[in-house]
Amino acid sequence: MNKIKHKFKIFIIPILFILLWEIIARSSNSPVYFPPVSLIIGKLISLLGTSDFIIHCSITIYRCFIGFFIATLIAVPLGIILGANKKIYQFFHFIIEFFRPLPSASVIPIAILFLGIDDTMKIFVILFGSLWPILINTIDGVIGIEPQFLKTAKVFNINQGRILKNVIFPSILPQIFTGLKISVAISLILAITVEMIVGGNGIGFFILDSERSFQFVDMYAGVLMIGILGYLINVLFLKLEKWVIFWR
Amino acid sequence: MGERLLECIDIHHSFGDQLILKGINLKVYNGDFISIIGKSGSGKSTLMDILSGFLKPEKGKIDCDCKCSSVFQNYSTSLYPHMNVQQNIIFPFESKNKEIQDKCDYYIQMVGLYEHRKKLPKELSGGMQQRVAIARALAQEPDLLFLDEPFGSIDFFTKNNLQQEILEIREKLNLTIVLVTHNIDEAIFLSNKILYLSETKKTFIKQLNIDILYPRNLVKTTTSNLFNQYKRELLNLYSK
Repeated sequence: MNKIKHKFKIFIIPILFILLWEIIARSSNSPVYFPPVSLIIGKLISLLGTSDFIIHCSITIYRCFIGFFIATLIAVPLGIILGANKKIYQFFHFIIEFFRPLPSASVIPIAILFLGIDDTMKIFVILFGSLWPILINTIDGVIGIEPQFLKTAKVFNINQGRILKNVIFPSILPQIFTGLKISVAISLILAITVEMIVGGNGIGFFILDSERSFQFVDMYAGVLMIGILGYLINVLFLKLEKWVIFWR
Repeated sequence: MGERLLECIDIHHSFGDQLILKGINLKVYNGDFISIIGKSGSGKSTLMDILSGFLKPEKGKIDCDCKCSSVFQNYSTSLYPHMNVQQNIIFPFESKNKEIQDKCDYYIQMVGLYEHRKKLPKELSGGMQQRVAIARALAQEPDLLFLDEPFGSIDFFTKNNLQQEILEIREKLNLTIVLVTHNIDEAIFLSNKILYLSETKKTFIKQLNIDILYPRNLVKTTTSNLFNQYKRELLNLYSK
């Protein structure tokens, strides 16, 4: 009963928000710019039945995850190396601190210059933006590893490979997941941004194209779709985190 | 006196400018239960790190011809939280064959945790976690066991039970033990030799032989006149 109550509580504010939107939109003088939610939801449902919209969604998800996946593949091992070796970390420190705060959107013109406007460029921008949170969190994880874990392994003469696989990696997984959760959100934001700027396809392009052709309900439906996608990705990662870091 | 298992010759160690140990000499013989006591900051744990091979001394030599194993002070961080009891104990072994698994199960049983073997450390009490650490050390089948304040953060009753169990295991496995502790009662009850490490002189300034026969019973031993006599002697050293 308590669980049901708790689940219900989560939806109180969104339901109130939707109701308020619906009432204001229906009583407003400009329903074209500010359509009722019922109309937007209806539109989204009908769009989800079209192959065009599904392709736009799939392309955005594909870019988002490929960029994010490559960033993870680079950032986790690099973070472990940098976190475990102070000298190498000092060598790379300036480069990391220079690129990390750089707004990823600012590299889009440079990326277009060198990579053109196709998927490689879009994935590169997503990769660039989502790399840093994973890298920084992995480095922090390694630096902050419980010294007793390493001491125990050393006293029991466990070799470096097994220490890395069975001690260091599981110990830094919570930190890696913190980085992954931040990065996956950044990946989605950048996928949409780059699609809006460069065009071609994807939900970002669909939203901007709908706005430019005065199909505002479609535009809102696209935004709603991004919100739903973001929420689902977050839920997926929370579940994944709970499953992977089962000892927490 | 049994066969010599370990000898420290003129051990010196410092951290930066701060001298921690100066000219430590120690001989450990088979069957010994040696307690190293001293005030906080006297270098007991540093000495234990050197003895267990975690730390290399700045100067001096350690001769050790036997197999050693360790139990650390902080049970909550000495076990790996992502491994269950069985995995924590088997982890130090390269091979995980049936023989090794049976051996690990034997020691899990010895510390009374067989029905908890699939549990994660977070699902166990402090005393149970320390038992896992003890079983892990015992599974290495050491000749010499180092205990670094293993009862430090355990409640009174669990601590008493664990101490009694340690004595029983020692008897059963013919173990030689070196214990670091700041607790005088614990040191007298458990050991046959106590070494007092001075925080000012950075070396052992007193060796006390405890002539109380094994097996020992906690209530009988700790209420005996001999026990109180040793306690007074050590308290005098602490108060100096």
